[in-house]
Amino acid sequence: MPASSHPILQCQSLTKTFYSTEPPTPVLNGIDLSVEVGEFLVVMGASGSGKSTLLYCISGMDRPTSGSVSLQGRDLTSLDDSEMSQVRLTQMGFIFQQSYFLGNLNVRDNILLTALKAATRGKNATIERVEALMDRFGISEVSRHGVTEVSGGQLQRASISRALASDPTVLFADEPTGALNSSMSSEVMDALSDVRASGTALVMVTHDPGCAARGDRVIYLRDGLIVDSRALGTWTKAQATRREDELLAWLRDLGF
Amino acid sequence: MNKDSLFLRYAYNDLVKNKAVNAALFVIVTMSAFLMATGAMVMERSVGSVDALFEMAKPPHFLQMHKGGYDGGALTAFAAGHPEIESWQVEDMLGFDGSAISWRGQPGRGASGDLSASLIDNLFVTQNEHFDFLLDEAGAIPRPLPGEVYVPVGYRQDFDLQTGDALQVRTGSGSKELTVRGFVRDSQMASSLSSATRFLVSEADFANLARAGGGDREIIAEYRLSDISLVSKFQTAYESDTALPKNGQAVTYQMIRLINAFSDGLVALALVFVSGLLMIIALLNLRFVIRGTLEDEVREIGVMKAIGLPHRTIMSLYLSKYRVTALVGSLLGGGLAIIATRLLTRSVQANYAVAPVGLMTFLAPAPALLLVYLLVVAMCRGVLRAVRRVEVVGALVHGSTLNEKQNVRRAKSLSRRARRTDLASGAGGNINRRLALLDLRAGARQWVLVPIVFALAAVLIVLPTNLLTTFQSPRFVTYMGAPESDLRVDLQFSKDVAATHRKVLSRMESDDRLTAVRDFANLLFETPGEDGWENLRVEMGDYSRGTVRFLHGQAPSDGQIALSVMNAKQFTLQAGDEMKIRRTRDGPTESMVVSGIYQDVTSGGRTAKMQGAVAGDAVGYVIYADTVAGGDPAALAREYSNDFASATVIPMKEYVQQTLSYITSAFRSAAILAGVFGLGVALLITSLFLKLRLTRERSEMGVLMAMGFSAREIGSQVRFKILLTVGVGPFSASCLRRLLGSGSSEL
Amino acid sequence: MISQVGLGISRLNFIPNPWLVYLAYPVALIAAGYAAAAALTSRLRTPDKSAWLRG
Repeated sequence: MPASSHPILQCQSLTKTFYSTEPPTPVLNGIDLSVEVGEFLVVMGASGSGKSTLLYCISGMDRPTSGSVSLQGRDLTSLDDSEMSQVRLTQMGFIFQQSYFLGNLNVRDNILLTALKAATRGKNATIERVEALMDRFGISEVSRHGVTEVSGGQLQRASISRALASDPTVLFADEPTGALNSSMSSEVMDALSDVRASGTALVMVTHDPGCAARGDRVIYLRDGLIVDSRALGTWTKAQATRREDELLAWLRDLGF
Repeated sequence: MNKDSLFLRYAYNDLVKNKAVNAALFVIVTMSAFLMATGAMVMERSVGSVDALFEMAKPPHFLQMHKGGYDGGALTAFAAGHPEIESWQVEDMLGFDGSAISWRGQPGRGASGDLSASLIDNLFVTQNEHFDFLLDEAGAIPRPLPGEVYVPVGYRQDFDLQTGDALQVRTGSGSKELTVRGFVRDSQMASSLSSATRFLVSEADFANLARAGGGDREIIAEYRLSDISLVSKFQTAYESDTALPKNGQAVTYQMIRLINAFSDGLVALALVFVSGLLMIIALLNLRFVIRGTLEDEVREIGVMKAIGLPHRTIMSLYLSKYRVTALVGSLLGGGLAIIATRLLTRSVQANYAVAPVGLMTFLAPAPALLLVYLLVVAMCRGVLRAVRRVEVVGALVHGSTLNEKQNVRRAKSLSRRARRTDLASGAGGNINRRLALLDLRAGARQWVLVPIVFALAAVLIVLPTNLLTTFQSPRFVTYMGAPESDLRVDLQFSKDVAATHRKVLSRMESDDRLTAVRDFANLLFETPGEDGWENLRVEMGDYSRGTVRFLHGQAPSDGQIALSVMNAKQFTLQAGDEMKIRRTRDGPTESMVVSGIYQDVTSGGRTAKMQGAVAGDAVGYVIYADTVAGGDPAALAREYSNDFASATVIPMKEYVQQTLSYITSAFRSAAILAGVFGLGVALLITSLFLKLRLTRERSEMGVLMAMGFSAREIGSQVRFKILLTVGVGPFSASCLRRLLGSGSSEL
Repeated sequence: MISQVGLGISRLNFIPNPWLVYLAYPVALIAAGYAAAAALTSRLRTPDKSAWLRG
């Protein structure tokens, strides 16, 4: 991986211990990581390896026990709750395994909610932007539907639209295809790959090698440490199967 | 493992898991049980106290107070002509002004003072021979030795008097000192509603005091009848005999009894009412909590059903916990009630005899507690019936207590609503508030609990306070038959009443410390009743400048008459009816139109009012006046009392406040109790509701946090929702009260 | 009840203290509700927010 890059998100000596258990559970044991502008980083590892915790620590949802996290050079660990919320609002996007939406709002309003709150431009511009996003991810026709009326794939694409609504610099995805069947899964992965077209970096936690193969780089966690990483280069549809096989072989060596 | 231990283990696990929620439920159930039991016990205790006192003290069935000389022969003749009299007596009394009586604490105590703050008559008497006994605190009939005095129990509380203190009476010839030997309860005058109280001295001291002068000679003619139901007729007979002494208050047994029970009865009633409201709140909450529990644990219920547990077993699993809560809550509430009752009835017990603690003492709260227990369990059962309808598939697959059809319907209605919302529309506004409002709308069925509870809590707090402020209000006298005024002068019966009236009136009218002097005469008329012509006491004067409040109709103008409630009932008359009256036997009969009906407690509640000039030949006069701003009605009353011995001058507001202070202090306790409970419930219910609500909305809040809403913003959404729903409660409660006619209450 | 006792009072209209009934008590109640809400929402400020997502 080229060292002469532009890291957008960096963490150093990151540790996280949960003290709510007895004895305390160390989950992250010193992680150094940097994510480049527009990079698609995949985090893999067995259950309990700390991959989700890593995602929530570098996104400022959880407070790390020690170490530092910085986004575009700004130290996130020193921010208070409101400042951190503002960072999440304007610079980060989230996609979860379950598409968490507010049941009281229709699809469009769920997306608009973040967009309007983050809006620096006028309201109309924000609405236009959201309409465009929904067009781009193919959910315009269900935009006025309630969230219980649309399919899982549509919802996840709506999640992506929501995550992009505030034009973030980095997007976090936690098992975005975990609850989907394979055709919906590739629908969502296509959409996610598309995200990077606008230069947004993407950090994705998954245990699906098929999805992981879409990334530029894969890191592998075990017991709260990065035990290996592998650069995959740019994904093309033609090489998809070969990439996946190679990745599987690597993962098998790591004991996945 | 048998079934019972399974239930117990379940209950225990649940208790540990949902500590806060279970604790809150328990507290609410305990509180309502507590108030319910307290109400029942206060009622039993005060009725019990009055009973015990009456048993011993044998109060008269009819009594008539009189100031000054009287015709003893007329009394004997009257008694001879009335076989219904079981026994009768005339009690001689010496009335001293409060300022003439001072006291000094025993050496070392250092305290001293006088009774001038007391506005009621202080009457020195000797122990009666046959009935109407003054009892000491042990319930015995004390007979003081020379030099000793027994002081009314009320004064011990009001002036902090103790046994052994010295009491000095300023007589016409020097000061006479007596030692406080103890305190007496006065069945007849115990209720502070009566305007006099009695001190008990020995025969020798009574004679000394009488010789020394300075006291007013007064008597009470007292009668016990063979049949209490004859009292009303007896009173009429007594009053129509012109030779009998009757220039003071006349009191019947019913009044003595009812006034005594009245105050505590009202407190008990208020407590029961408040506890009823609390009970409703408790039940609503139980419903809310159980429904929430069922929704949260629907998968477990589904599993239990799937493995073939009958729904009855599942229901008892949940019910066992609430049974325990209800049982322990009721018992604990009952236990606390015993303590509270002691506090609330302390003044009752001091004024009256200590009621014997009998079976009833414990039985009285038992039905109340049983009611609490049964209601709670019934409500739980009702809600838990939903378990029967839970379908295994719906529970396991959708995690829903609803069946397939209901699920679809619910999803549809949710979507329908969601389709209608449009965040982009509207003036934008605060996004947190919009979210809060949308959430309120979607969760209205749950959130409605909050305004209901707060409306109930508002009523719960306000009712006892309203009783208190009503009795404290200067306007309250208008319920008792007197217009609102600062000063009231009564002139009755004495021979020179007309002359005194002229003197008092002219002095008052020229007194620049007084304004709005209103003069009324009491005349006796006759009107046809059930048994021929009956006496009718009519107050005559000018009512155009305001008088009492009228229940129906208005003040009389020329040719009209207004009647008290009891007279209206007696003669079955309503506003607008015609009434025949005549001034004297064989006199001309006049026809008057009833202009209105008002409430009156004076003169046995049977009075009337007519517009007209104040006659010079009246049996009595009443003069009302207001003081100019900054005036001291009490001082003026003392001044006029001193200058006109045969006039009774009272500062109305102070007088009413003092005579009612015993009632109001009981109401104050009830109001404070209700206030504490109301606020406690408000706090508790909000916490309970939010705790469950926040648990349910956890993941939605998590998403909002991830989306970039700060904890403060999410908190503000919740607080906004609470403010809105909580605010609606008291507001709707006051609207409700408005609707119900500004809280008019037909108690 | 009052009319039954034959005192001459058949109806008791409350004379409320408007300050208490329409101001002090509602404010106290609302304050109580708000205080409870404030206490409970203060718990939202947890350092680890991902726990909220896990329900």
